[in-house]
Amino acid sequence: MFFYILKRDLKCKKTSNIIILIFVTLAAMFIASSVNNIICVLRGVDGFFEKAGLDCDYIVVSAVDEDNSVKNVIDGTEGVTAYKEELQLLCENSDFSGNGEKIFDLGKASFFLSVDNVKLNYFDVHNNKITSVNQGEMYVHVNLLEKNGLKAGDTLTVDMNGNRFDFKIAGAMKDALLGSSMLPYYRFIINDDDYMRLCSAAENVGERNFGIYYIYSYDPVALEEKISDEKGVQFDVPIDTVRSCYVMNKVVAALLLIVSVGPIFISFSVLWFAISSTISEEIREIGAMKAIGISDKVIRKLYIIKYLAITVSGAAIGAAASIPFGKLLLNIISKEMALDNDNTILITLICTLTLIGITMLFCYFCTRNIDSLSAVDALRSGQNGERFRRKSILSLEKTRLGTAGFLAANDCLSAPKQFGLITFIITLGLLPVMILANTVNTLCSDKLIHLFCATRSDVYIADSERSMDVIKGNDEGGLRNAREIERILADNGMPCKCHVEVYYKYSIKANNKQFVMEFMQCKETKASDYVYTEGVPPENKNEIAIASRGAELLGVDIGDTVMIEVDGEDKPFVVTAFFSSLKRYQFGKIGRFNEDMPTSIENSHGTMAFQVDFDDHPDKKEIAERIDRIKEIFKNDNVFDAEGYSKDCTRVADVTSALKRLIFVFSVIATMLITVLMELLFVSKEKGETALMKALGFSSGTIIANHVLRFVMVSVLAAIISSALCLPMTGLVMDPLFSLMGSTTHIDYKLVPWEIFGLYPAAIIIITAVSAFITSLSTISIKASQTSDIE
Amino acid sequence: MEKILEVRSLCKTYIVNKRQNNVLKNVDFSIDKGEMLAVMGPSGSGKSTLLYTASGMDRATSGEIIFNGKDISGMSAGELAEMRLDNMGFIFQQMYMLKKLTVLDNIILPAIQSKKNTKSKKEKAAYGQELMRKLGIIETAGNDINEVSGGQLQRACICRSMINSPDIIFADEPTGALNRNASDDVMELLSKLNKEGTAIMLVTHDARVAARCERIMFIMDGKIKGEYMLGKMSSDANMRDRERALNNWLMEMGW
Repeated sequence: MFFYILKRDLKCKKTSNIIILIFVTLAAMFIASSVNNIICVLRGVDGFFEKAGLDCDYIVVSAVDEDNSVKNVIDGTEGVTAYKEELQLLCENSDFSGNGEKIFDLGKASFFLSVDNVKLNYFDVHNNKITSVNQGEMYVHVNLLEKNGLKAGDTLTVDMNGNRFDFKIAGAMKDALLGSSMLPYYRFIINDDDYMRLCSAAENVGERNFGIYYIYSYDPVALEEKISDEKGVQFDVPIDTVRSCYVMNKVVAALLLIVSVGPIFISFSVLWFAISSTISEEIREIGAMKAIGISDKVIRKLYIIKYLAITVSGAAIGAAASIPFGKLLLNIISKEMALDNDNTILITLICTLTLIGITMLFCYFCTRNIDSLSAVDALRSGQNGERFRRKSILSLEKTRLGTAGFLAANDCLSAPKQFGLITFIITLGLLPVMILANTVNTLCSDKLIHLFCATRSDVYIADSERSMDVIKGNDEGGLRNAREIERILADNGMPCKCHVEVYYKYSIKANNKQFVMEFMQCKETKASDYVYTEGVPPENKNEIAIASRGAELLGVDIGDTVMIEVDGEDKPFVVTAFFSSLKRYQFGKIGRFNEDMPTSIENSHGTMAFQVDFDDHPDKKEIAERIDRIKEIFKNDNVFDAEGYSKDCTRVADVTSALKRLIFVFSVIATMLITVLMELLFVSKEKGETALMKALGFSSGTIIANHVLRFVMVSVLAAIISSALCLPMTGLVMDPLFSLMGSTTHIDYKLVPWEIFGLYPAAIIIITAVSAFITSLSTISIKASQTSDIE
Repeated sequence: MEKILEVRSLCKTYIVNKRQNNVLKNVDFSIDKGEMLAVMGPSGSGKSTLLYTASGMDRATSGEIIFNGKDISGMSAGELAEMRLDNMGFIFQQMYMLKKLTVLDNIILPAIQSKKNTKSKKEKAAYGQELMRKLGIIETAGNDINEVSGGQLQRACICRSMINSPDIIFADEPTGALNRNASDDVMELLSKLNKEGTAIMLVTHDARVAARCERIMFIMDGKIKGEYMLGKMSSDANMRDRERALNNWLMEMGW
């Protein structure tokens, strides 16, 4: 009998049972994929490094000379316990062309690496370890491929002293050491025979031989001090610095983590709603069962077993769907990192079992009324047993709304929990999209320019060749190149002023702490032209401003004196200001000299982009046109306006934008699904009332309008809440993420009104209205004569 | 006498599990303006189906339904809805009302929705209250429907059916869920309404209820088996005689 009732129930209440099944499926899918993603993201860089075997303490990238001087230094440094040497061949930027077109952007340096000589694990796009490369093929870093519009199967040609080597691109590669977009180095993994052939063809192979040393040491500071004297060293960093190069990936991963939590909340909320409302519909039936003498225990068991059957089926489908769904999200953020989870199936299983357990708990709590209700109560009270609970809020006499509007508003206000939950769910879907939109708009605006220690200019020209020339020529080089750019642009009808920021590396000491700090200086701007968070700009030669993070590391405050080693001599400098910096691989170890402070060529390290300010102050449109011309003139694609330069500096705008689009699509789909399922539930629950309204003479149009307006009202409310909360929430969520990148102040986020108050709210409201409308069309088939179905 | 409702060759067929069920078979009847007609018959005879089909709440399979001189069988759902709203009133056995509205709001809802009823919202609400006062339930105006008794709720349903001053009220077992006293009260109200000129078609099992009607129609297996004219009820004094006469006729009909 028990199973007969169960079978009949599953058959007769098909609609509500199918809705529960769909909700459980979605919940299982969201929860399992989100938890898997969260675990992947939390392991993030550490997991990637572990997988790649990058477990050393210090990295040195250096030319290998005949005396093996770098190796000698490493061997002779106290604290070094072991090291691995990975030999590679340096390639010149001019050596390359892809599909017959010259490749310009190869970063600071690129290396060929034989697959037989790898000391780390390298991965393809599917996160499989690269163990072999066919002759004539090469693996190329994913960023390099994307930057130059290349793909697997294309041909990359290397010109080594007039000898052409054609390589077919086997695929994109993930490189733990040099794979971050912050590091301007690339590697190509090739077959060992090809490597030997390239070495033979290289004329100056001695100068091209490079080694990457993965050093294990318990005293990296001592190693840093010793290695900094070596001339052939391209760069040397503690492993933590390499790790922090993935800060942008961490930021995006953290965003994914945040947006992954949303669906979990949504799933459980919706499930609770669906179960509680279907059980409340059955109160009268429960009363009938009680009246004929079926015990509370058996009734409860009946419902729990029914929901267990539905939950197990839904959870199994959802768990299977969660794996491809989760990967879709993860792929966006794991372009550079091999992020995956070896325990996906186990975690999915645990999540599924947890979901089943929680759903059963929901059922247990939702059915606890069964014990307290008497048979008569349940039979009399009809829908929910709340016989004496006041429900009506609005008065029809006083309302200015039409009947449909009044009924909709009254429904929403009479069932605040139910409609509040829908509002909460829609808000939860909309808010992350708005937060990401604000973030993307800020990243693509000039609001962050000051955080990259630059002044605002019309155009920024990033030119690595001129940058090298500046380093070689120091101040003179900078001035010479700036004047040359001014002359070329003036000749092309674009008179302007040009300047460039130069980086200098100096050793700084204070409070018994010492490290190398990068100082910025531009001879043609004033230190007072930049933004500081505290203090006053350095006005004298012996004054400096430093990033707040750097000050923390040194333990100094404004007014303190620090020692900087200038021309082999420690000189005192007064800290006059702090500033906030998002500059990438310095991680707070950055300062600014006064423009009159004499700097040395020996210490110059690099430059920022050449900044151009036109004399005629053109508008944005004109600047955009001039940028296109400048690109042509200098044969350089890296020419930006202030917004573009800011975007280029952060390098996460595109991936954040992609994440935003994906989350928006998910939000739209989730809103659509939830609206359809909720509306189906309402239609089924209110069948009798709908029939009554029809019997009284209400047209189907009025009834549909009532159903649609309820959802429009809650979606409008959700849109208002989201719009009101989006700026503070952006600050709350994004400030900590920007602080990971080095910012110490609140970011002034850019809110694009048409997007935040127009596009996204309108899209969600329209989607909700359309979904509710289409679903509510099913009320047309309810006949007035079905009034007796009312419970 | 002018007819308010005329039903000709009305058929209603349901198809359940591929089986044809002819609920109404060529039914013909009419109701005059101001008449009070009771439809009686055993369970499953098609009484309620006849009421729902004749009132335009359900579609007839075939036949003609002339209401106020217009054939409503070919009307669209929208036209039928408008006609029900403006010209008909409905009372159900189970006192169906919208759960989230107060008693007064339930009563005035059809008036607010009606385009024909041109009174202001205040006037509609005042009329609703006036009806409630007449029916002795004014104190429940602001109550939710869960807060009032079955008898009060059925009176509220009567108020609702009267709010747009309909030409006819259709009542499906209006006293079916009420005790004897409440049932008498409700029937008294309906009789009073009828005396004021509103035609009433009611479906009932109860001979006491039907005895208050002018004419009784007996339906069985989807066909009208017979009609009995009791005539207008002049006073409560002759109720017993009417009831006895009706019972005798019903026995003849095989009740």
